[in-house]
Amino acid sequence: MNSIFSPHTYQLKTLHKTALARGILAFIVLVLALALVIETAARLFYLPALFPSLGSDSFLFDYKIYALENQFRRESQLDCLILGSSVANGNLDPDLLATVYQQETGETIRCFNLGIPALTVETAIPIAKAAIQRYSPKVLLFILIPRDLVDREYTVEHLAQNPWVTSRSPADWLIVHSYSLRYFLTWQYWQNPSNRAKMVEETNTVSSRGYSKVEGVRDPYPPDWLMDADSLQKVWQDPKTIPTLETLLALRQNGPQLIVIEAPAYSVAFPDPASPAWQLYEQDYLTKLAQYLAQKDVPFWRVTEITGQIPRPDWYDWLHLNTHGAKTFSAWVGHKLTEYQNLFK
Amino acid sequence: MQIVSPQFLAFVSFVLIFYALLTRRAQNLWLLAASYVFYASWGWQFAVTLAGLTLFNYLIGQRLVTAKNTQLFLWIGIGFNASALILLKVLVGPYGDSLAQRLGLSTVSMALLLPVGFSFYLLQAISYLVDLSRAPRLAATSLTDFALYLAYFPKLLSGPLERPTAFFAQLAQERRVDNATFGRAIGLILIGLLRKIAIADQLRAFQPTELFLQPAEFVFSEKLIGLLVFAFILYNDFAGYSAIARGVSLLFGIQLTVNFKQPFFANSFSDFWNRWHISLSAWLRDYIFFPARRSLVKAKLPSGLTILIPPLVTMLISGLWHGSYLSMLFWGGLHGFYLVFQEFVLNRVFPKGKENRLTQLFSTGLVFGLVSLAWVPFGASSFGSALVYFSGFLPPYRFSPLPEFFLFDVGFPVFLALLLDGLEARAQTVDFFCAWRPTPQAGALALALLLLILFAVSGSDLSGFVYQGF
Repeated sequence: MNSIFSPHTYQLKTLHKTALARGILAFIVLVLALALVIETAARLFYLPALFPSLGSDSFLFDYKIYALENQFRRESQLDCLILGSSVANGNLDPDLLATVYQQETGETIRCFNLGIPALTVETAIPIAKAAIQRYSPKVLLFILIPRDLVDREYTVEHLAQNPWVTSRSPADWLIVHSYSLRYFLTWQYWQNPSNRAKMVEETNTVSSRGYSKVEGVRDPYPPDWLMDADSLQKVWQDPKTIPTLETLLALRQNGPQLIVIEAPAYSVAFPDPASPAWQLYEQDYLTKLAQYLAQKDVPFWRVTEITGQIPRPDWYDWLHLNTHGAKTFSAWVGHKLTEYQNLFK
Repeated sequence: MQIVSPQFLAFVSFVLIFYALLTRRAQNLWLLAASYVFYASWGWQFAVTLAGLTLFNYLIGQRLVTAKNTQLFLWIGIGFNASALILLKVLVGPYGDSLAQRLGLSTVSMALLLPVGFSFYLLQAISYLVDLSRAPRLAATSLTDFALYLAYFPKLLSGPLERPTAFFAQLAQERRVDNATFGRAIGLILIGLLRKIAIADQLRAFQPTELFLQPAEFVFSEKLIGLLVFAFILYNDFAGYSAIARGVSLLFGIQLTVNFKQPFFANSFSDFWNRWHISLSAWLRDYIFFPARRSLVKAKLPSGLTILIPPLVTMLISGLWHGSYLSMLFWGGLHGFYLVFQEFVLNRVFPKGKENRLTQLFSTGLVFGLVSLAWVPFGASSFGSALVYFSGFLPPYRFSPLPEFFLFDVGFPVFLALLLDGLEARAQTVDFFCAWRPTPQAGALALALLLLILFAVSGSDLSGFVYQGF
């Protein structure tokens, strides 16, 4: 019977000596050399225009993490970390805050604003944990609006799954620690032409300490749809609110002091006492929040102390300050920090 | 299973491992089984249809060589295949849905009727029957080899269209894959991937999707650039696929026909068709053009008509093969007209053998320009939108500024395409790298791999997202 097997088709005995094998070797050497150059350059220079991505699908988050890494590499210390949604991102300038603090106490503090638009408390917690683990900030400033506790629709919850936050696998570790891989991810995003404008738009106004400058007044001015009665009513009715706050407060076990700051909102600064929304905000949302935080010994700063000093032209829109408003707000936060002794010791 | 996918890589590797251990006959059977598995991955119904057509054509072929009236069985076979092709083309065309509804065809029967790659294997079935009528010794081919001829997976979806004699000859002999063949196969696959990923896909990302659907929304400069970009996309996408198919096949020791030879360097329209989708052009030439011309000459028609009619008929059939709708017929007709124009005008203004460098350059530019214009009806969704597109080339001319990164998005892929074509033209072979010394070969391989990795995947589109105000 004839065999169906024959070993004669392939005559590849010295394949390892061919151009094919040499080419593959050359490719490996080329990739390694490129990676080495990128790893070295990324650690020596801070090039904000060329930020390395974490593949998080948020250019702003990737950019801020790169800026935070660089800041920590330069200063070897992080005193306070600012967290929250867009009300943190564009309202609080860590440089101004530190300047006021130094003017009043003579001490230098190093802060970073890791606020991300649409961040909720729930998503902020794992991000804060990852940052605490890496940089051990002494103070965590959380700028809070009601929507941060209850919004389930417009969120950036995917950030909680990012390798920088989770670091669950060797691949995650590699992404976080290899700038060449991260620049490769940036390149992949950039290759999609529709992303390019967005990359610039989201990152070109961000300072090296994570503050996103917003200029002028928004036109058209959008309606105040987050601070309506319906949304406010939900806050304490939502069964997840208390557990979420408890998890946020549990971050203190990892070292930092937590301070919650009421986010500036135009309807709070210039209230309409007849409005049911304002009544709900003051009598339900804020009263219960203040009581809860007081019980847990967490400082809670009401922004009404300062909103009288922020005129209408200093508001970008109903919930966000422009650079002028942010200056006032940041100075106030810097001053408030001086009221606490040994906060940064 | 897409050709450019990790699944296909795994599939080829798996098939190759066992293939390497088998004798020739067993290899043919193994390739046939693998080809049907590959085809079934697109839809089991497709494999059933292919098997049915294979059996029908094989039986007709066997009958054809034994019957007294050979021509009757030949025409039954051709008629059946051609009718199936026309019916299927109509069903996949713009009038397909309404026709299917009228015929009361269900989804399953539609799937049976519309197999992927049918345009290619039906033409090959016709080749088999015609060649069999001319050379009855082909009837000795086994059913396995014939089935493999139609189903061979590297060429199943989009060709190249192989001729039975050459293909059967390869199936009948022992295959040898040595270092040189293996290296050539990998080189072809890499060039194919470069053309597909780093050139065609890159340009496609730049091309506005509405360009051919809503041409009225684009100004002259956008239409012009869009058309040239479209030409490069089309060429590199198909040439890339063909190179990958040739490379994969070469891994099994089976050579497939070269399908593209720097078509944009053509200096006449007939030259263009000797360089563009060569296997189809050759099929049309041998099975439509020559028979048509021979029968017209036999009928003693005036010589003008014998020159005029065959190219027009051939190119109209080519248009119909590409799509059963008016704009595609227009594309075919336009190319037929170009060939006639060349015969009656260009060849008289620039007689062959008397061209100087300048006239050659002029001819190349003219051919490229007119062929590019013909891509309008090819790419257009309808005849009407093709006319709207054409009207944009009439004055008044409006220009828009070039997009940011134009040089990177368009300049780089076009440069790479021309570089590859230039290297091919200089070496006078599409496997130009085979003549290089080992060091440049290795360097080019490393660079090609790097480019592929850089361009292989682009990040997800984030432009629409984020609750920016918050």
